[in-house]
This record gives sequence, structure tokens and C-alpha cells, in this order.
Amino acid sequence: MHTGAGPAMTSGEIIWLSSFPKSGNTWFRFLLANLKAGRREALDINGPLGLGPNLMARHSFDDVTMIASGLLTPEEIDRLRPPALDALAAEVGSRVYQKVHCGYTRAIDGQPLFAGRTARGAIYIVRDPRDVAVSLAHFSGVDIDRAIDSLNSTDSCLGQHTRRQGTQLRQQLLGWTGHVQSWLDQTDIPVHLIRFEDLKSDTTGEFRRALDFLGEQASGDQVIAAVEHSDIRELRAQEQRSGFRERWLPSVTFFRRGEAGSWRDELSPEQSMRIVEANAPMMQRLGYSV
Amino acid sequence: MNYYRMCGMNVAAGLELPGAAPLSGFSAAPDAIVQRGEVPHELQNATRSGPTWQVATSRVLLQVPGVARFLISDGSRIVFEPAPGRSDAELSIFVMGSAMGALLHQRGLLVLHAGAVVVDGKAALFCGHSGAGKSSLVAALCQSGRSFITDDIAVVQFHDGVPFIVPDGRRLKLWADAVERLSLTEYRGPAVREGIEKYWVNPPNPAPQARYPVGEVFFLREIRSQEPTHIERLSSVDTARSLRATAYRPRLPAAMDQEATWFTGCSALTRHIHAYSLTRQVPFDAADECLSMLDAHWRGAGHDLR
Repeated sequence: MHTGAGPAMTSGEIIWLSSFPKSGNTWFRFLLANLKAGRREALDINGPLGLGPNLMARHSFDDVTMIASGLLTPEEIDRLRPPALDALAAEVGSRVYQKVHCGYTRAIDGQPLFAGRTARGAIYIVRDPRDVAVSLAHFSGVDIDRAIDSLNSTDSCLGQHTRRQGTQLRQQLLGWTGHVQSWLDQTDIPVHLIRFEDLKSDTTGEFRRALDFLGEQASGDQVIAAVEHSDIRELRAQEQRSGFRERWLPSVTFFRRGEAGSWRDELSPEQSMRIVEANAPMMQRLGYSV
Repeated sequence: MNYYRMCGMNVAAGLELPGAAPLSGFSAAPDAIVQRGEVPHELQNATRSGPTWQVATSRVLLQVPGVARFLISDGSRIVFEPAPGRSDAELSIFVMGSAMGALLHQRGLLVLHAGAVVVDGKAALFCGHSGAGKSSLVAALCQSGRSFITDDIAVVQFHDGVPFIVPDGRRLKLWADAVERLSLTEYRGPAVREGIEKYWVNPPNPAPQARYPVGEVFFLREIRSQEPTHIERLSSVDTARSLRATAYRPRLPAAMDQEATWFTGCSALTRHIHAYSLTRQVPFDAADECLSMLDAHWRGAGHDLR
């Protein structure tokens, strides 16, 4: 039985911050970054977060393998990912908190992509798929029905471009249920589950439990300050002033309502039903009303 | 054997290299030979290694799992061994990229990951990592009349202290989207690798074979938040540092103990060039804006930087 990721090692190691897109991953990263920065004021959302370099970027892969990933098939890339991630993490020489939206998948040789020798554990953030659908549609500029298609499809991917080169490597999402299942049911690395809705209603308590899992020390005051500095109002205000580099479309704001349950006034009954029909067992397992 | 002119070298190759410029009537001893042969799985006495590569004195082993292994030796020889069931055609692009890059590094050359076009008789270089948009920017500049020198590898050599590059003898490599958007379909050749929608494209305006002094270097940066497309002059310190970071396969000089050579080379290059950061949307969203800005920069309009 896994108990936690344990305190950070002095050699390089990776803690995955994993979620389906639009589930609160960025918010959690700001909580962690503000906590670790320990400043009087909130961190600049466009500045360095101090959680480590982006080991998942295409150019990191190309750099460490000396092979242009654009010339490889997604399967060839996946096969090289564990050793590439290990080499990159080892070079960093400390703990890296790495965002990932990919499902917990395996390469063609059976090796899991995210359980190399430097992988220490994962925080998994899950959110009611009906809220995810609304947010996904807004964020990527597609209508809600299309967002639901992608949420329900086990073939959905990020970064799967064949006619141009994206800045990210392909990430297989596996659909909402497939994504959650892949991370929660794997037994290679310890996982700590956070429901977005719980993080919303008891941010301090949920964040504290995550920190315990991560072996991160923090006083009550430090946790409270990090929660304040990562409040959706703060994030939105900063984005309004200076934009946000992680926007998918330049004209669409990243930080929107950040609420739980807003699908009730944004989804039609048919749309909500489509999501429930495709994902009911996993929604029930996670305590979402169906 | 096939004979090519590539990166300033005469190359004899035991496989076809579709994107390279063929040499006819070739007789002199080649600068480099590419041939099929047995390649070990590990290098004896490797001093540095990564997930796909090992470096020993005067040898580099590169593995593309499931595709091929390459042994690059003495700055003059590339031996390739295809994985079972793989054809030579599938691995030629790796010969021309990473393996040739390693060979050039072994020759102690300043090998930059950069595209280049001719501006006022000099080379203007565009540096950036894979995916930064070098090729499409270079292609767009050629489409608007500039002469093509290279889209990927720029080997800088000094003659009487002045840095030069030569056309690398290879075609442009462009993704299907870029070919279409730039209306270059008639110039499109074969795919660089079967199954990948990236193509060899004959440059619309190839530069004549000559040495081009390096005039300007632009480091491509992506717009990160609400900032306009802009060109900004870099300090000498930032220029030298950015040049080192833009080495083709930047780990190789360190793995080959060439840091001192690179330090000297980058410092010397810095003294001869104007260097800028070019911050713009990637890849095509603001291509026209970027081209107009470069044009304005080159006309001197709105810039007092030159």
C-alpha cells in the first residue's frame, strides 16, 4: 500500500501533477508555487513558478535524445519517453513538479510512460466531467457538443498534429473515464487523488493533505498565504492585466469562473445526459451525482 | 556510391540522400563517407551518454530505437545499421540530421541550429530549437524574394577572422501545412521519411554557392503573454550565451569537451554580428506581421539599431 511520495530526494525526481485538461491542474500548480516561493505577494502568473523545468516539452525531448522528435512516430517517441524523462530529471538533480495531461499509458514495449526510475508519485486532480466539458469548450473555442465528443472519446489526444509540428508531444487523453481510470488504477507509483470540488470548498484542508502526501513542510500561515495568492480572483486580475502564456487561443481568457457545478446553467439536459451516459460508473465512483 | 555537396563538404554516401545536392563528376577524396556496416550497441570507453547516444574519444554512437544505429567517427565517417526490416530510405533523414551534425562537431566546427537567407550580400541567421519555426520563416522569406542558404544547420567558419557560412546544399524541410500556406506545392519533393508529412521542398530562390559573411543573427522567441511582435537588440553577453545554447544538438560540444572552442568561437562571432531577439507568434498566426517587421528592420525604417 502506498502511503505517500515522501520528502524530496536530493537526486532528480518527478512528481506528476496529472489531470484531464481543465480540471484545476493550473490552480494546483499556483498553490504549490506560491507556497514554495513564500512571498508576501502573489507570484507573477507569467513568471517562473519554481517547480522545475518543463520536462515534457518537445524541445526537452529533442535535446536529451539528440533526435528530432518531428521525424519520429508517436509510438517511437513514447518508447523513448521513460529514459528521456529519467535523463532530464537526473540532470535537474532535485524534485520536479511536472504537469501532465496524458493518460497513464504504456509504450509499445509495455513500459509505462510515467513510471521511470525517477518517477516518485502523482497528484491526480479530477473534476466533474460536466464542468470540464463547459470549460473545455470555452478554452478551445469549440461548441459544447464537440467538447463532449472529445471528452467521451477514448481516442482523444492533445498535440496530435500530422501536418505541422506542435510545441508539445502527443498526449493520449483516453477520454474522461479512461483518463481517470488509467491514473487511479495503476499500481506503479503512489497517487494522491484530489477532487476539484473538495479543493474548492476546503482549499486549505485539501491542500494540506496533498502537502502531507508530497512530504512538503509548511506552517498553517504559509498554507493560508499560498491559498490567498492563488485565489481565482487574483489569477483573473493578473490575467486581465498582463495575459497568460498558457492560453490556448490568444483571445480567450484562461481563468474563467473556476466554480464547481456551473454546468447546471451552461449545459442543456441532453448535453449533460450524453456525458453521464458515457461516464456514469466512474462519476459514481468519484461521488458525482448522476 | 552517391556523391553530394553538404555543409561545405564533399560527401560519398552508400545510400541515397534525397534532400542533398548531388555532385557530378566527383573524383577527389571525399571529406566524409557514409556507409552501411555493423554498428555496436555500446561504445567502449564512452565518457558521456544519454538515453540514445554515447560519446567516446572521436566516436559518437546514436541509436534511433527500432529504426537504426549510427556510428560517427573521426569527423569523416558515418556507419549506419538499419534495424531489422527497415530500409535505407527510412533512415536517410537521420544521416542528414543528427549523424551529420555529430560529424561536423567532431570536426571542431561551430555548428548552429539555424536557418539562413541572404540579406544585402550577407547571411542573416535565424536560430531556435526544433519547432521554433525556423524552416517556415526561412521559406516565407525565400518566397518573398530572399535567397536560401540553409533551413536547419549553419556551419560557421572563420576566414581571416571573418565568420562565413556556405549554402548547406540541402533542400528546405517543411510540414504539409507550411507547404500549403506558403503555396510551395509545385516545389514539393518526397517526404523526408515515409509516413511523416514533412517534405523536402526545393527552395524558390537558392543562393549561389559562395561564402556569405554572417551579418545578423535573430534568436526566435515565442510570444508568451500580451506583447507585440518585436525585434530587440541583444547585448554581447546575451548574444554569446544564446549562440552557445543554439548549437546543433547542444549537448554534443560539452560531451566532446569542446566548451573552450565554443567559448572562443561564440565570442569571436559575437564581435562580428548584430544579434537580436525576434519575438513573434508561432507558427503562422502572425507570419505576415513578422515578415513586415523584418522588412522594416532591413530597410532601416523605424529602427536605429543598425
